[in-house]
Amino acid sequence: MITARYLARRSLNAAITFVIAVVLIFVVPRLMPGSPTDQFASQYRLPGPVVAELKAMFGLDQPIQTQFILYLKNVLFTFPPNFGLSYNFYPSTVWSLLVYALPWTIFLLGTSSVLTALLGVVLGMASAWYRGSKLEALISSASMFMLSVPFFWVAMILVLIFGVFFRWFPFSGAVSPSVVYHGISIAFILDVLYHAVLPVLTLTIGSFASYTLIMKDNMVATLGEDYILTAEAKGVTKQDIMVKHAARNAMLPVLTLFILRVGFMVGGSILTETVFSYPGIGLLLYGAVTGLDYPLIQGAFFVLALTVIVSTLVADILYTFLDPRIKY
Amino acid sequence: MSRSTGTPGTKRKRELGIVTFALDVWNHKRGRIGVLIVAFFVGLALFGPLISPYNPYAFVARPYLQPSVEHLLGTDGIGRDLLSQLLWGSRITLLIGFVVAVSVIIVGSAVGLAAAYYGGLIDELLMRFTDELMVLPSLPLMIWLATMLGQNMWNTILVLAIFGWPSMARMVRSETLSIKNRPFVDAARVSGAGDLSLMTRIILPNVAPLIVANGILSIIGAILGEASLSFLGLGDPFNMSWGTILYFAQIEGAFYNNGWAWILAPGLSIASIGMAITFIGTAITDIANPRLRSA
Amino acid sequence: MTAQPPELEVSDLKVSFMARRGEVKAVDDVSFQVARGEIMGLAGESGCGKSTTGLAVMRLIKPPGKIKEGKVVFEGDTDVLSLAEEQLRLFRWKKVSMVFQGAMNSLNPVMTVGSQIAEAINAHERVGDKEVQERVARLLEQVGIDAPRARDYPHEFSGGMRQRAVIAMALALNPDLLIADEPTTALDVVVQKQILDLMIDMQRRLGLSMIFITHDLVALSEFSDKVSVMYAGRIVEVAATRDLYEEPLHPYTQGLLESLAGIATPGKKLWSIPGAPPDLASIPKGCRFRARCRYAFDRCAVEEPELLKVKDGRAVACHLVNR
Repeated sequence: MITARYLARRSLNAAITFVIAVVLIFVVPRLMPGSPTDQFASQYRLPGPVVAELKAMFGLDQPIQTQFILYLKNVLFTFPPNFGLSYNFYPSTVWSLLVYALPWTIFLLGTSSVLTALLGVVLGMASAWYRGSKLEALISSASMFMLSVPFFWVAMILVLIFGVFFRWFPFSGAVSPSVVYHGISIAFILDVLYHAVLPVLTLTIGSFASYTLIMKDNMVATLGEDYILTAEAKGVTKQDIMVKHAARNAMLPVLTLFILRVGFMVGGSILTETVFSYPGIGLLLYGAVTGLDYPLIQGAFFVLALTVIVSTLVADILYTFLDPRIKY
Repeated sequence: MSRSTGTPGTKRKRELGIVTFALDVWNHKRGRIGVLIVAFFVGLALFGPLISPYNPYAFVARPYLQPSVEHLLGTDGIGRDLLSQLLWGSRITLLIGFVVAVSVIIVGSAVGLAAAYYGGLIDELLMRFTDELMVLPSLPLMIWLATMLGQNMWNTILVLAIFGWPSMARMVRSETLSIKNRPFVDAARVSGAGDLSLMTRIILPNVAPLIVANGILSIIGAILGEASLSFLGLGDPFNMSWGTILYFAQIEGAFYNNGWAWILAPGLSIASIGMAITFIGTAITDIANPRLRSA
Repeated sequence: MTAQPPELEVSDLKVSFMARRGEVKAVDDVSFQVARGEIMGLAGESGCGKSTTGLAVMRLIKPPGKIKEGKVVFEGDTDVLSLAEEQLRLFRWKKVSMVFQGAMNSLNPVMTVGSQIAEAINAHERVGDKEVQERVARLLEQVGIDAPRARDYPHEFSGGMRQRAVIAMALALNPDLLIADEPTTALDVVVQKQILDLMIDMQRRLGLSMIFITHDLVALSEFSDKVSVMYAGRIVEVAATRDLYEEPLHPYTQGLLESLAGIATPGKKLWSIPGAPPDLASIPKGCRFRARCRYAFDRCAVEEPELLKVKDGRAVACHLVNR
């Protein structure tokens, strides 16, 4: 049960966290050794005056306080937030790059999150229902295996099997590179889905294991509760007991896990996007960090922070609807 | 999951305890499998480079060769022997995993113990810090740090340790909180033991089983983390780990050249060690918690 | 004159739990009958096997427990222990229902009380939503709960109300036999009386047969028609309530009644039976009560006494009585 007060309190908390993140995003790169243009300059062996002009162009010659104020103004009080121009993708603005990349990541993460949760819950329930059977042993072994392998390796194996060996699915990019789409057509959607199969499959296979194990443990614990015995005494069918009574209660901690793992999922998307050259925020961030593209780094972390904070808030609120015992 | 009894044991009793504990793990079905596999890989790490057929960094044959008698795993994109890379890589991977785990244990336990023991403001501050670290998405930040600090093995260890200790700290803190108020701790305090002595000689031995079990499991996290960082090209190219092998597989086009052994071998090695460690972890939890043993 | 078959007839029931230390014989050869419309009290201390007996009647014994032997026959024609799964499911709650110990734990915390009562109905009958809701409302009102409270969750009810709700739920399908396992134990004294009165009222109105499981002998004295006393997995005495309280024959029953503190007899010392019940995994030879019995003699150490009829409606398992 949710009160307006709880909502306000959590939102305020989230906003504060966000502002802190924004400040940190400004401060931390500047604490790192070397200035942003040094890399640039040494790479292309630019002469002094050119470097000075570069610095002026990116506003790096101003005193740090001015830079900070400018930053806050551009990021928090302007829409769209202005992170300047990217170094590596000059002269594109950081924002335009982010805007293009973000939907792809959200699409990937959103789809795989839902599938992962579903798969985890279903497999966890099956493990509990068929406890002691070969199916349960299989599911447990598969889960344990998945928890012992690196995410990206799963991606690579899938690429080997479905992309190289069977040649069923593409393993690079979000859409076919040689085709130009005008607007959102059926062909476009199909192409997107076609390219999304392997990445989503990777993310799902790589993530379901911990949900499955937790769901199974919870189910087994819940099935030992007294109200389950009552339900059975009432003549409720085994199926209904599993689903309506046990799963309902067992799922709550799974959701908690979900909330906690939002951050991890972003990490997972970086690895997946790298293997599949999928043009999402993960790939963008990776390129920005390794290419020392400071404006893009700031922009990408900004989007990251925003995504994590917002999704945590949403998940928190959703949770209160599911557990009526919690009062705020 | 602590095996704490009413009073802390004497040194001799503890030594015997460790021996019986080790025997219990050996007798546990899965525990034994885990120990054997880990022993195998440790052996590989120690002696692998000695039996390695080639120098892993030397060009010894044509690139992209399929597995054959001369090259059991084939060659990579520049013509280096993959089996040698795997053998030499085991050393790096295991070393990193182990050192990170040890660091995580030390830092995590210290923070957890201190926070739980002192309580109050110290606890609040330490836990705030710990939680913030836990909540942040680790991979992006690890990538950033690794890029800043430069690509070498010790930086990788540092970066992994930084993001690894928070969960250990949390666990140690909970366990310490529950032990802190037991009678034998009070008894020791009353008899004049100082803070440090209380923490290390009295509380710590009782938290130790939990720390050991989780420390062992954290090796998996460290190995996986290292593999991910190396895969993204942030590893040390002169100290190839299994993750680095996979990095080269990706960028040297293993997919387009049928490099199935190239991809399969390092991954399966990581998986084997991971599962072996999980088995040992399961054995430890089963032994320390008799309630869970089936009738 | 052919009498109606009893509501419930339990014969030679044996229920054991497999534990690490051995086989725990929770119920070791128990037989009894409950006549139609009769209230039988099943009394004894914690661990004597009374709750297990109740669960066994509904075949709710879960591993590591197992019903090893015995027959449970309902109304002369239904052999409960050999019903097929679906038949058992339909049998449960419709013919025999149960009020469990600890109402809070018997209710699912994330479902409304009303929906849980409705669930019992829906599991057995095809009824429209509206009708189910009406029936739930009526059931709640019968036990003294306002109908709108059906929409509340268990934690929003007080202890007494929860117990009433659980009773309402047990009566949802108009069962013929109700097993109440310590329905008043977790409640305070005032509420206990309310619940007891409620149950008496319900029983009278609906003509239910009842098995009232409890360690509270006082409650039984007001309520039941006859009482079976259990000790260490066996029945040691059966008698009509009045007879039992006025003239207990088994030393254990005598001890129990004596230990009921004398508010009515002030000045009398508080007395309890010394010692503890035997470990049900290693039951001693001879009479189980021997170690705590002030009348034990040589035969008690050798031979386990059988539950033998003393006169109509009375039986005792004691060598002292059955010479």
